[in-house]
Amino acid sequence: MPGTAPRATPAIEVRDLVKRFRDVTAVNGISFSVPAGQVCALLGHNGAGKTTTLQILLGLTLPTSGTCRILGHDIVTDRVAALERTNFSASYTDFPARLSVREMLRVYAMLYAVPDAAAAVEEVIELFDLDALADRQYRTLSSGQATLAGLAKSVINRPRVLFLDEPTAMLDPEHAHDTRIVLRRLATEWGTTVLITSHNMREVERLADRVLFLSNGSLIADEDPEQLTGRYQAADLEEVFIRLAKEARA
Amino acid sequence: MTVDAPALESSQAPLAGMGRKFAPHRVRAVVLQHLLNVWHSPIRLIELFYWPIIQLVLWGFITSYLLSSAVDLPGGVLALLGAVMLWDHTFRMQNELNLVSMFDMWDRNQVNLRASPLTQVEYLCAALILALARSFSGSVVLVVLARWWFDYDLFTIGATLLPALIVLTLFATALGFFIGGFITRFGSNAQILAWSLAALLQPFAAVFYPVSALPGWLQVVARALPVSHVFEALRAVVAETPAPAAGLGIALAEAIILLALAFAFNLWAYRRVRELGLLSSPGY
Repeated sequence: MPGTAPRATPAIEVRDLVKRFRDVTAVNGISFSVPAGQVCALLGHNGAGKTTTLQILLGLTLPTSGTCRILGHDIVTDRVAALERTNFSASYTDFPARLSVREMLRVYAMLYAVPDAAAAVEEVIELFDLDALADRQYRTLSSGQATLAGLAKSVINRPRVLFLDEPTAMLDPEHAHDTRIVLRRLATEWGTTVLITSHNMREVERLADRVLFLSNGSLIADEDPEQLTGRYQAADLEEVFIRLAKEARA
Repeated sequence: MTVDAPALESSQAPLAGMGRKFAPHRVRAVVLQHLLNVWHSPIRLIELFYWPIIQLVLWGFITSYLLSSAVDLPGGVLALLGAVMLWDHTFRMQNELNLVSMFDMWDRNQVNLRASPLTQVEYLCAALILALARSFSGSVVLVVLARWWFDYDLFTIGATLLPALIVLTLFATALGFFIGGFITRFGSNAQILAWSLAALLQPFAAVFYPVSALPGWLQVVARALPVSHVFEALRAVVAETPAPAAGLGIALAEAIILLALAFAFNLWAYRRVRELGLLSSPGY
């Protein structure tokens, strides 16, 4: 259109998203978009609709109505294109128990058609300091080590959009700290858009550019962590979380 | 963790085969994953041959005994051994098809696979390749052992063997897709079907006796199953009567129809489980 500047396609675009399970509305008409390179936290009390929203964005669950677009591709009608430059990690998943970490990464590099897969595998092994574990079978890893292996898988294809469900929940403070630094670098150096769920509010304050707060399936706050804390005149994000969660239950 | 490492490469090389609805590399990835799993699991390698050999030994001795007792069975005593081997191929093929998705379920790897660009059709193709490889390698061992231990050559069946194998493989694939649909939809609650459904069908499949041995109403059920026509044809060949070509034609048509229905059911079940949001629930 003459005189109109072209608008960059958001990395994630959600419009009027609804998901009902029989008589339960898990997601109730939420809309938001996330620009490229932003680290965005999706927060909410247990059962607020965070995981359902993430699963719809990953194509694991089909929406009742509304649309989700990843890098401009509709997740329902154009799922393959939407997921090729996307990846994810969650604490509730595992990998084949008998495969070594290196073999598992090789399989996923092939699945995502990563060019020069061998180099990509070594790169993510180095990135998450997995050298000593790379040839150990997945079943022999501790929960924290398995989490790191899952995080390594989640960046094997240099995703442009990365979904993380409680990525540091199983990690000790040192590894959690280092993981946050790596995630920040992915956003700044690779331009990766990160949508993260977490119940660790200090982590969100350190990592996220923006907070989306869900309550009973509805989006009730969308701003940066400092603004949100200021608006509620709270000492920190944890206080805001507790207040919003109590309001939701009232 | 290498937090002080040099800057990450910011350029993102294009991925091969971007946006393709069917990509062989994704099929290869699933095949590779399961081959590595078998390679690291001696039990899975042993299991590949264990049950077929047990069946062969049992039925081999029964056959030897019947031959030495001069018992006259319709279709010939030796038809029993051929039937054991071909039914084992059918069951093994169906069972292996289902084991692929069950191993991913047991390993809690389903969500990682399903959140990737992998499609259900690609996943089924990978399962089919793995099932073909495992069932045929088991069958090769059986053919060799049957020749060696019991002096039985499956290839004496002649040209009928090829269409028989095609029909049995199509039927096993249909059964595998059908059971796979149930497992996808109902999770671990439906896994028993991977072992039990073929056994339930075996009496109606007329594997060891002719269809005429069944009561009238069961004969109708038997004739609706493509496998019954195959085993009737094999008995005819062993008895040196002409193999009923029409029966094999009907069997092929039935197998293709069943396969199409099972494939559609499997895709529907996958869509349904995504509607219900169950994919990430462990075992459902």
